[in-house]
Amino acid sequence: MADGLGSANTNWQDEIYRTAIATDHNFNVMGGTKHMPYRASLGYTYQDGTLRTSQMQRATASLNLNPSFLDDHLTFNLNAKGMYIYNRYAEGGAVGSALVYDPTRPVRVDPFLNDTTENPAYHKEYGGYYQTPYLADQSALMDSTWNYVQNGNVPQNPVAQLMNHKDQAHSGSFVGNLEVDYKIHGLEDLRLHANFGADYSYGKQTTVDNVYSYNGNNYYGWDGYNEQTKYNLQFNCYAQYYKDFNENHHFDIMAGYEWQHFKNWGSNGGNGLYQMTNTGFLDKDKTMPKAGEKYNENFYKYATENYLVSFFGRVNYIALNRYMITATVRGDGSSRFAKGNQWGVFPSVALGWKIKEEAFLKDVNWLSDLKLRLGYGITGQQDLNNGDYPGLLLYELSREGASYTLGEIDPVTGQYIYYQTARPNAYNPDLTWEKTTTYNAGLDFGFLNSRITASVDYYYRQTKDLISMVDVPIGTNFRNQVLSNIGSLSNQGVEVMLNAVAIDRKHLKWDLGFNFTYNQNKILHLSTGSNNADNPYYVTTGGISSGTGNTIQRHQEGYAANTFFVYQTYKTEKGTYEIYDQDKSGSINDKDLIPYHHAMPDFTMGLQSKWQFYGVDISISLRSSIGNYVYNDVKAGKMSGMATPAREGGYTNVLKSALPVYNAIVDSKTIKTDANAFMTDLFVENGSFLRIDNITVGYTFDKPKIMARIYATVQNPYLYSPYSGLDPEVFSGIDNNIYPRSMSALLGVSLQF
Amino acid sequence: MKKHISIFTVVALLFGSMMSSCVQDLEHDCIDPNMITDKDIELNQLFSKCYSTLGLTGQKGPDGSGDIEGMDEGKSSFYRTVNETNEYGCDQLYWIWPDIGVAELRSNSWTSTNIQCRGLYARCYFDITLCNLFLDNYEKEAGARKTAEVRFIRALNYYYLLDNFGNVPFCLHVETDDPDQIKRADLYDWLTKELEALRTDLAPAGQRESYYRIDQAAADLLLSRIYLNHEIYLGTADQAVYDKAAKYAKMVIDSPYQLASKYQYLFMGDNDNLSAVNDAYKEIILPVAQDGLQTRCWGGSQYLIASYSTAGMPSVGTIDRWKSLRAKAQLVQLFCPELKRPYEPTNAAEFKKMYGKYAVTTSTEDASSYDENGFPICIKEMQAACGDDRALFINSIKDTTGVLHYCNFWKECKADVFYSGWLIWKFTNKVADPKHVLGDSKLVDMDIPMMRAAEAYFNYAEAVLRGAGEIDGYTPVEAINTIRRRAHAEEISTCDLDYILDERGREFYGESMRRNDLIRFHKFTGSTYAWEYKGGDILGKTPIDDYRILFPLPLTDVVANSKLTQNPGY
Repeated sequence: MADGLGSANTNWQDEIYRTAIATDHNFNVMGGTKHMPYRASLGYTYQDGTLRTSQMQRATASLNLNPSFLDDHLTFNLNAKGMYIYNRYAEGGAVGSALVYDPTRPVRVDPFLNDTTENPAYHKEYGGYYQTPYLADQSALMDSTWNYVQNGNVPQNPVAQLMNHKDQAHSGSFVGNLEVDYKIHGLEDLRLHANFGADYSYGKQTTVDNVYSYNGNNYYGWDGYNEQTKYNLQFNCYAQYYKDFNENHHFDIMAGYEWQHFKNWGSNGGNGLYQMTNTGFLDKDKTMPKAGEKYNENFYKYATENYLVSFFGRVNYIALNRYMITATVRGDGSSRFAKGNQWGVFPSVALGWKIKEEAFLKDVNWLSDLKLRLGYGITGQQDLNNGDYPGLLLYELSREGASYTLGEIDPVTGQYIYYQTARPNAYNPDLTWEKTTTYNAGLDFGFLNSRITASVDYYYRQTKDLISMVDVPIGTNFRNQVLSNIGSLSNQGVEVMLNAVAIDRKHLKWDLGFNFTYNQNKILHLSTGSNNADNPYYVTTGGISSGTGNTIQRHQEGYAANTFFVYQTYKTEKGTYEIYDQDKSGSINDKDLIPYHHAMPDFTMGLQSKWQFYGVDISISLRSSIGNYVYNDVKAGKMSGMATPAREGGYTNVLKSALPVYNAIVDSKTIKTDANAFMTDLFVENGSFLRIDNITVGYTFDKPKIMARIYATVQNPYLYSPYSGLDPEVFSGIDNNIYPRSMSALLGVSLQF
Repeated sequence: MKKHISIFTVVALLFGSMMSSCVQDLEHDCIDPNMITDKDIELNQLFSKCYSTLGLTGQKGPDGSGDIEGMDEGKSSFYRTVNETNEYGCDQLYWIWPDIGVAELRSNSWTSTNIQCRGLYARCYFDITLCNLFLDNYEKEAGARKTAEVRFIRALNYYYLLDNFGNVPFCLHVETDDPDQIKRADLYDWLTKELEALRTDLAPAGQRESYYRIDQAAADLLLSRIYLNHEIYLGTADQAVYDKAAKYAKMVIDSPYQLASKYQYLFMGDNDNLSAVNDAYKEIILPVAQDGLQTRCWGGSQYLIASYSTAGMPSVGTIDRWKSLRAKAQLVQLFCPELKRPYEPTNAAEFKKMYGKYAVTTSTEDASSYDENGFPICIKEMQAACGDDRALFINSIKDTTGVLHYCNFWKECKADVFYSGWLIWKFTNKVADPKHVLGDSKLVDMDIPMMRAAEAYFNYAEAVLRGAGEIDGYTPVEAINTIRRRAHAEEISTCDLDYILDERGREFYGESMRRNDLIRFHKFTGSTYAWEYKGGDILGKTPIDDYRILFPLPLTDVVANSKLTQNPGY
């Protein structure tokens, strides 16, 4: 047995997962008079998660009223829905820990069993759970009874991680909506419509770590909360006028107004506690012991709001039932921008031509439909993800732990006086709407009486005045990066859809659907100033887990968003990898990083197929993605730890697929396993895949008084991919998934009387 | 019908008035209680912010609302950016983790996208823009002295830009126009004039308004440092400028500031002016406040202390251990000249044989390994072996299972292997005054001794050796011996420039001085001096190109500001 291994045999997966139970109850009532129909429902759901300790309970109530007056000229639609949710969140980190945690270690150390392999001395500090021991600096801790603390560099006992942490949330929400629709008497072509909506929610989450936690809260524990209230009020109204001049000319016009207010406020805070055995003092004269006092207390309160106001109009005209034109325009005002830049105007035009209706195609029987569509439109974006006041010069007050003293002494306490400081925050009064212009052209086909339908679309989208954080010339604002309208990017592509009823007999039917998308994304412009080809400007993105602050992707002009930039490697005769010194500088630095594939797929495809044979139905859906590359962060992250699996006294499992790579670089001259290996192309892999999303087999009974259906569904049964990690389908191309996407099977019966 | 028309009119009027009032909603004030506007700001909130840029990274401690965007907040601190750029590419310290940018600094192959260079640059200009705002708007309200202090903080930031980047954007007001680039020589000219001008409004040396504010000694010490380096900044040496360097250094030596009684006191948790025992405050001319409760960040003294700390080492007064910084061979050799080549002892016998009198065996943190003042015995033994109080090294360490490991020397340092490389026990959160109450078990109280009087003795001695006239018959040997006496090191009888460089290495290691020193002594670039990992290889055989005496302007700014020209070579 190797040094440092234990004698237990623990399956950590079994320890953290369980078979979960869920129940779901619903109760609905419908009724009312002719002019006042109503619908009400109550619901309750209870669900345990498969990860131990996780649980959810939900109660809902909803009411819908539909009164109408004045000969149905005035109708109301009232919706109200209330919901209460209780959640107990499990500590998700346990999933990762369970994969790497040493299986020779027990879940708990038995304090009565004098087992020499598992030091019983530290069960106290870790609440009886086994953890990798780490000596406490007792003179800093001021407690000679607490011998061990946590070590952030080794994994935690997954069961302890779940049990020592209690994270609960209660939340309530209300959504209400009143729609009023009024057709003018005597002028029934004119319709007035108004809608009032309110969405209110309140939530409070409490997070408690006990003193045995093997995380930053060891010894002191943590008792924290987070409370938030938010609402969204909305009002809109419009008038719509229809006119059919004659059967060949249909016309409608609409104009309206919308107002929205979003507000949220709340607070969060918490503290630990000095244990009663702590021998430290709060004051110089040692009259106030720390024991039992709050540790690291903090509190934060915030509030923010924004408004959106819009005017909009639309004109629709259809001539001869085959020439169609729709034109819209909207003016949107956002409070997020400074005065003068709040309004954006966004027009659009769509043209349609039903070619099939033309005389020269009317008699072509095999062609049941043919339509040409052309479109142009501009849309606006103001969701900044960066607060509601980017245009104002505001001074941010300092919070706990960020006060500063100038050395003046408080005559009472004899201690320094600390000042709350104020920092001017960056602001951009010129900030305005981000605009996306789309051009598209499409053709719709129908063949054989629409048994086969198809459509082909080409689109080109260009986004201008992209809102993003960019480096501004230093000295011109209060921060090095400022939220700005900067740069542009384009997307163009082709979408093809095909639907067919391949077989259509009385007892046998086969439906087939296929879709295909090609998309090309390119960053056209990105910086405030000039750019030069030798030293192009870029924004780093794609944070990875190795080291601190490392990134693997860039947004750079001329390349797709999220393009990987890596060291290019080659294999030597000895079988080891080395890095190409691209700039021949004699050393490897970031000038040797080259663009290497991107995270977005070039092509995506989907296929759905359904067979019905007498009462039996079988359906299957497949999806495929081609040209998407993935950075295997899990594998790359293993490189530095491989040399020292028994890192700081705790063995961890290593990834099997990482071993061959590690062996091929451990003797490399240019690649260092603990310094730059994670920046090489060895970890950027082709993530193309073919996935079967689901297969359903069912049987339906259809008798006059009873209809029953029995079915079985398997979700995610099969994945084919050259990718060496668990699942290549990851957002933005960085795979740090240690948990496979689950395959689930469902059996169901439904009855209708 | 009439009735319906009137309903329509009422509804239309109602909606109409609603629309116009709701459009007004677009202009609303910020409702966040953490934000104020310039109507409500108080002078001291901004004045203390100017000072706090030296010791904090943002508006929440230790992190959570950083001043600098685009990088790890802990790494964006003033002291840490200066320290990383001025130590990691030199001959004394080795950061073992694969943090972004560190490998390039270590192998002297940094480029214009290096994050540490960018961080230093961004930090300096954040501070400068803040000072500009204060000087533009609050000069009258603040009065002459506070104004001069803010001008000093701005000048200090420009000093680091002058020394590290040379030709930089220059702005003295908050303006929306892109700033112009200033040549290094012109910046030197402006900076020395600015310091000479503002010093007259500062409190006389030793009479600062309150402990963390500065007085004339800070301006004088900075002036002596800049004048001493003028040959690097201007390209030619000038006898008269060395005279100025000596003059300002001597003014500090003759000021009320004195050396602290013990070297170790300068880097301890109670090095402020409230301690009854620790007299570091007598020496620290620019103290940057740090406090475990009130003034917390990951890039100030927390970085200085936790970086060097490893489990099994004697306590450094915080439970935070980053296990990151190790001594390079050339630093150890300044104290242990007999160690000439790489060693890797694997057992007690080899350890004794290889390290000789420097083979000091530590024990882990049990009480018996400390003396009656709480000072680690293994450190005392190392000091005795080296004959110098500044030899604060550890070269053997016990792991948690009690197994003793021997640190290697001039061998590849590996992340994760805590006994690779000698360890340093210089910066601690320990206290000399048992009455001092530490704020926190993790976040430290040690103030950063940003500028201290000891430097004046070195600046004076070096200026004289470089041709300045002695003042009042005070000799370089006497100046250096003052420093050595405090360290209980043997006094010297002669002293040359090479000796000054070594002695500065012994005194200031880890204090962000090394790059500047090596460049001034023409030992940084070229191949006259090899050190561990210079140019990327462990024996340091790869020369560094001359253009690397300046860091590149960050690519981000060169692209954003078309008025800027990149430094040559990059």
